[in-house]
Amino acid sequence: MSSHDGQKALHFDHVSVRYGKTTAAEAVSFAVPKGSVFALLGRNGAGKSSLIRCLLGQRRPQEGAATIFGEDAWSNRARLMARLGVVPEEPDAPPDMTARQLAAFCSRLYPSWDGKGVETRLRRFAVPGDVPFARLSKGQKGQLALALALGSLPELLVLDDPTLGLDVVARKALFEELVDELAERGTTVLLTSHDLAGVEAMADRVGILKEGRLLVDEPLDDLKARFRRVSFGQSDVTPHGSDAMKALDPLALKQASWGMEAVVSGFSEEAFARFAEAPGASDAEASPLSLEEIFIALCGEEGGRP
Amino acid sequence: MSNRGIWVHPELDNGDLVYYCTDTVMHRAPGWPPVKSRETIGRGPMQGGFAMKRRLTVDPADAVPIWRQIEEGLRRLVASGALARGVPVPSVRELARDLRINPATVAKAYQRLTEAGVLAVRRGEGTFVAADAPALASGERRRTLREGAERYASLALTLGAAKQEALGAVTTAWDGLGEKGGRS
Repeated sequence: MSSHDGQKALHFDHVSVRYGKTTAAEAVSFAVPKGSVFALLGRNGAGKSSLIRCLLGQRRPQEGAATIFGEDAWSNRARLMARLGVVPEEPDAPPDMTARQLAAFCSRLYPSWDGKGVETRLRRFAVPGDVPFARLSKGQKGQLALALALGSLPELLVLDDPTLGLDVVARKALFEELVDELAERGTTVLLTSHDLAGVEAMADRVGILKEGRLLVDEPLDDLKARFRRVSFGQSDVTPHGSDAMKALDPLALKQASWGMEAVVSGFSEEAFARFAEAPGASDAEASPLSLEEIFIALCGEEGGRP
Repeated sequence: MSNRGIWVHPELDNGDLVYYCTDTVMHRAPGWPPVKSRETIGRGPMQGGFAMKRRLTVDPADAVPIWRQIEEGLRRLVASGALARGVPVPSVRELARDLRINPATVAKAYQRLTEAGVLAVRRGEGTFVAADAPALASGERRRTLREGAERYASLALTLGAAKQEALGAVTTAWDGLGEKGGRS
């Protein structure tokens, strides 16, 4: 195991998770620097939940290790949980307990507790204090979970698809709360989400999982800088096999309604200029891709290599 | 199109007159009357008669990093005089909250602008447009103007507008922004 590293909040070191013969994660390695907002993305079943479970010490990986602040997540679970705030995908609590009772209960579990902050957030979210957990709406449960997670003044916040099932207003409130937390305390965040537009505005680093393997682990700005959609008019001379096309090295090439479309994962102006001048590629144009489009290009049905 | 942005009063001509607001909150600058409502922002005059125009927007989906969008947007606002020298800009946290982006992204843009002398931090007071903020270099000014014109011309062509019609729309928009917005 690596020695304590002050720059990393968490580290997955060749983590493999298997359920019987099914592999959920295969030798996944990545680190989240302190103060970073890391978005772990992937389709359902890509292995996100298995990795999160390893991180929270709920599951021991078959190979490799997940470490938090340099300590093994499995063997130091109890101690590490005090430094973590977690908003699970499906927030759960004793059905009869109210938000107020839950807050009182949680306050005793952590060395430091920001009771005032919890109260303020519950008021802002308009989560009633005296309604049993089971009778709260899905959005309210998530907001309560976030308020409680932030109440422990965590050094690392783990948000497992926190916007799932939330309406637009609740989602907006959640992101604003996250902005406040980041501005105030610089908390490190590990986030999984299907709301890629929200992630795009918040994450500084992204990891993309596909079928248990990590395809991408880099700063969001870098990822977006290297992806482009190149569209060009169709003509009799197809540029498929041309040297210019090879230099462009597209990830995917498809027929669009007005011509051809290629997704390029290692875009360079020079290669594009050569391609645009090549015979057969008329009206070539390169346009940027949103994170969502990049995700689809990598993980969609006909997705390819990174 | 993103509905996020800072909005400033188009008639800004001195340090006292600045509003910035977003789709949820409208912040009042010192000495200004409270603003009652903001339902129609960007679509016409606001209640109270403040014709606010959107001036800084970010598009997280763009390939240009968000910090650079903010940096360039603010640089342009300052250089063009739309954001006057000496006026306060939103705090990192306020702007991040309003745009719903990572505060570190805003901080990065502000830091670069401060290093470039466009913004100045006054301890305990906040961040302001520097009193001696540099004007837009003439080359950059020309380039910005040309790029904006090309975008508009391309839109007009797509809509099948005639040249005269398109130019007429520019004149109308120009007048709508107010004489003080630019030189006639």
